[in-house]
Amino acid sequence: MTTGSNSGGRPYADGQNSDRPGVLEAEKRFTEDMIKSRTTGEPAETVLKTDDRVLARITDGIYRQPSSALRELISNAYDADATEVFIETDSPRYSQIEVRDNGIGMDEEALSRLIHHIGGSTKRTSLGKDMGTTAADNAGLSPAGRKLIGKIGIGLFSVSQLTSHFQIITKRKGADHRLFADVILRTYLEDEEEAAADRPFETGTVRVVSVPAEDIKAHGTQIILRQIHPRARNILRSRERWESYYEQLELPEKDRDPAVTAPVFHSGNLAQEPDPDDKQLVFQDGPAMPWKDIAKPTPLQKFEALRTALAGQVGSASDRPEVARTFDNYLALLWTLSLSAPVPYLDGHPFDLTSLDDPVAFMITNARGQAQKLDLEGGQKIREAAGLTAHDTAAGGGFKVFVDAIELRRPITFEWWPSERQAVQHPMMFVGKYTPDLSKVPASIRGGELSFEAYLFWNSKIVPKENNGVLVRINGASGALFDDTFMKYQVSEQTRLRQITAEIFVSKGLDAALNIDRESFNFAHPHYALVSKWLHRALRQVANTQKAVSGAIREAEAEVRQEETGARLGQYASDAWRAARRESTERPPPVEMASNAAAAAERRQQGVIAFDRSKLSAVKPVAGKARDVTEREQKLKAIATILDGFGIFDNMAYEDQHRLMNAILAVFFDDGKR
Amino acid sequence: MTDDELPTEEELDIYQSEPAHTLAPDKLKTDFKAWHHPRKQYVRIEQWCAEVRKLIPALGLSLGDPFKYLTLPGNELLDVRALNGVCDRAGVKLRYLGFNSVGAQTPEAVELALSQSEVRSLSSIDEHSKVLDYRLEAIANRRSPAHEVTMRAGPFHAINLDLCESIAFREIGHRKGSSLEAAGKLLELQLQSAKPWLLFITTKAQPDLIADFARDGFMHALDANSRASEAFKAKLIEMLASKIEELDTDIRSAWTRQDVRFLKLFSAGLGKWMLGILARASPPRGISLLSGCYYQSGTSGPNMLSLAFRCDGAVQVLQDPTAILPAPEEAARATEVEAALALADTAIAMFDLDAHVRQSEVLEKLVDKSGRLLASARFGEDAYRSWAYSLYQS
Repeated sequence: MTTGSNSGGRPYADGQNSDRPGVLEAEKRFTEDMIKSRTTGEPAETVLKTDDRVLARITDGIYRQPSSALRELISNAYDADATEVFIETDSPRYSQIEVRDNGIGMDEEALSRLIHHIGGSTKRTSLGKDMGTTAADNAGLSPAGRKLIGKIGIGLFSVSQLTSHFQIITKRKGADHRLFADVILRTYLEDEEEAAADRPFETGTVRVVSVPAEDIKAHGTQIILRQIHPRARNILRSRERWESYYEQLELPEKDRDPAVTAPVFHSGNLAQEPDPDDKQLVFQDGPAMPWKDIAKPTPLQKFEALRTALAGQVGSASDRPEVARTFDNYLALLWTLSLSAPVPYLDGHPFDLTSLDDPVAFMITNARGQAQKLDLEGGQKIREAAGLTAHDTAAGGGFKVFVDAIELRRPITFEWWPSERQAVQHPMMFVGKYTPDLSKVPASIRGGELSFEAYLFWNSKIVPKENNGVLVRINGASGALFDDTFMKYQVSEQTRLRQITAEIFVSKGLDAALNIDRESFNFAHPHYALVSKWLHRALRQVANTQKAVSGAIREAEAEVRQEETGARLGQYASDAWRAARRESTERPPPVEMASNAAAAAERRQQGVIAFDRSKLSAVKPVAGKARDVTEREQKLKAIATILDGFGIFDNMAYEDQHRLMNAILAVFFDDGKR
Repeated sequence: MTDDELPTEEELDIYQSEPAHTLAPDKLKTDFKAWHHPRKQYVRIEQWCAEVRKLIPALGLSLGDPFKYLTLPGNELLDVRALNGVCDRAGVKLRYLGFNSVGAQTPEAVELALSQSEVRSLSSIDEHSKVLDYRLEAIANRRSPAHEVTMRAGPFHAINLDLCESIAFREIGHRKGSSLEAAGKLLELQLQSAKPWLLFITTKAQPDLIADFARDGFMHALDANSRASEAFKAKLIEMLASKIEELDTDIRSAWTRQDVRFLKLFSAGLGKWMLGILARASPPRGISLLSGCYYQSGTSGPNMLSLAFRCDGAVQVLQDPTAILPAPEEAARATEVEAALALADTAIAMFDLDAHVRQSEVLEKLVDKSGRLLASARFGEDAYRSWAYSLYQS
């Protein structure tokens, strides 16, 4: 939805503001009315219109989950240099949600701009500098120097998915007034009457008053979503899930669908009917929050408990716990928001891992083959060894998001999940970076520069299941969740792919490849193709390296086992030798393999049973490995010791001894079949 | 049309009533209400702020622990604005949990939102403070979200039941909920706290607005004490200006007449009722009435009470059944009877707030402070002064 009496947000040629190109006449008038309200107290009003019905229609339905709107509002707060965002719901009712930040806030001009361009914004344009919404010297940065994450400025747009009525309270530092905006949006229904009418479609109305403020220094923006749509409210209440759960309970046990379960952790299930005595909304099932057993939990402890709750499902509920199954929609929303928001990691950024942490680090090369091991010297971070710069500390004082007093953190951690099945007994962290040289590509089709860093983290399992895949962050934020197809990686590596969490941190480019909902990508965009190509090459390197490391470990383990077998055989042969000889003054002679006849002869003179290796064809099988030779030699020595014990070799020519041993080994190892 | 053709309620749930613009408040408000009266400022400063100031050092709050405050803050959060200063000087953050069932689509909701926006920019308000869109009475229902949220947020360091109505009006189990029942739930919650805490009660007190069960309960609480203690009986005689042989008759008649004796009896009865509950808790607690005053909101004499209580854990005395250790000194045993005597003393000493405020130097100070406070909530300060002084012109 755009506004003013024009199409698609583009100003009429004759309606342009002479002072600032690109400012609509309606927008300018509204700004002036709001400024007047400072002294008169009279509300300023405007009607939002569009004559582009296609746009009205597209934008009304692009968001599917309540999290989308909150994600966009968090992005807006980030772009406004907020250091803290507080989201408050009236859980478990979910009829009102408030999003409050301590960002720079808006003056009349910026608010008018926002309202008239719900769908387009001043961000990343020169207009943004004039309005103070972007840095003075770079339209791509916030005033504090953050790379802007909301490009299309559709933040407020997404709100229409949650409600048709919201309010904005905003204040700039230094202002002696607050602006209060009451916004009512209309859904585009395209009924017959509307379609036939030959007039611009009214998408909503806005009323703003300016109220005096004594707290001159205060700044920030608060958005109150009133009267959440029943559909969104029921999603947040997990109503369908609870209903089907209770329906199942009505059935005989044998007829129940085991897939229908109540969430393990949840914000409570409201009874369909109010309490008959006092008509109050009451719980059918009281809340079961993951932190219920912690006395006085801090906001961060609550989030840690959320993560621990999922990990705790391993072993008791499922080997691959799922967010969606373990949590109700409200707690799952917290998880989704924590993945998308540009907040710090729960236990630190993956690039800050050192040799003291579980993962062993590798560098993905931009060539074929295996990744290179990164040797981290004491305390050295991966980022230092690999020259990586992506971080999770927002410029201008950091960025924290709290939902109902729960502090969100990126819920991705890098500790090892012990597994008896794996040869490798530690996780592997593959990092890489890529800035393709696009100078030879014509600028018209290049799509701008592209630059990113990334990691692919291999673990014995990924918990929760929803963390499996690749997640792309543009300037720290992400709209999409983990893509478990790894951008449609076609190689059948199902087991290994399920063991990988990957993130790509894009610092330049790619955002043009984001679709308007910011939740999916336009696959046809060259940047997306470049990123996916890099990712697929990286996945091959991960596979090759992981296979090689596992192979080497299995080899080493087999050698140890062989030594143990050898020692056991040797002991048995010695015991058998003694039993055969019944002679306590003698002991079993060593059996040795000499490299030639002369060396063997010399050893025999020392009382050793020696064989000339060159005559023992059965010890070295065709296409055999070193380990096979070792095994045959071990067996040969044991047999030779026993034969000697029984005196078989006493009168046998050396030549025949070789032939006998070849024959016995051939029987043992069934060489006849080859 | 058959039933099948009618859309079910569930199907209609898809639709929602069309939203309407809720009018934002006037630029500078001049519609002054009862709680803007300068005498209310006395209550804010001398009862609420002063007692909170004294309590904070006794709490031994760790760094970062907020002062937890349950309140009925109205739309303007005047109490929170006033307490911010106290907390600021004490170096603690105030975390309030308010109850105000204001309704989403009302101008009051706008006023509340603006007030919260202002309050949060104050120096010492905790970011996790909030106002619930519930009536306080909702917490009496154990299955209600309001009950759940309150239990999770508490126990509190101060509870401010700033009621416009009578706390003792509705029956327990009343369809609209009962304030007294809600207060009972709060007492239960507060038993989880080992620290002292404050309870401020503002209530209408009229013989015609006290339910029978409450009056009988309060009377019973006082009777039990006067039977157990001659000293307490003497206090009741003093409170009602009665004689020993006429005490029973005077008590009965005092409950029926709107006068100062009724107000004192009501205060002592309410206090003694709570004391009875707290003294039977394990471990037992004591409650004291720190101060009390009354004022007039109608036409037939003083009918409003403003009371400040403080609840403390009683001193625990070592009892040795085998008497290896000497028996504790009698003085160390704080008994319910002694606590009741102290309650009665403060009830007797209650004063007429209207008379106090009428003194010109007091009034001037209160109007100034109240005017400043209201200006921070976007009221016209000059208009306030004229309004406030006009109240005392007659």
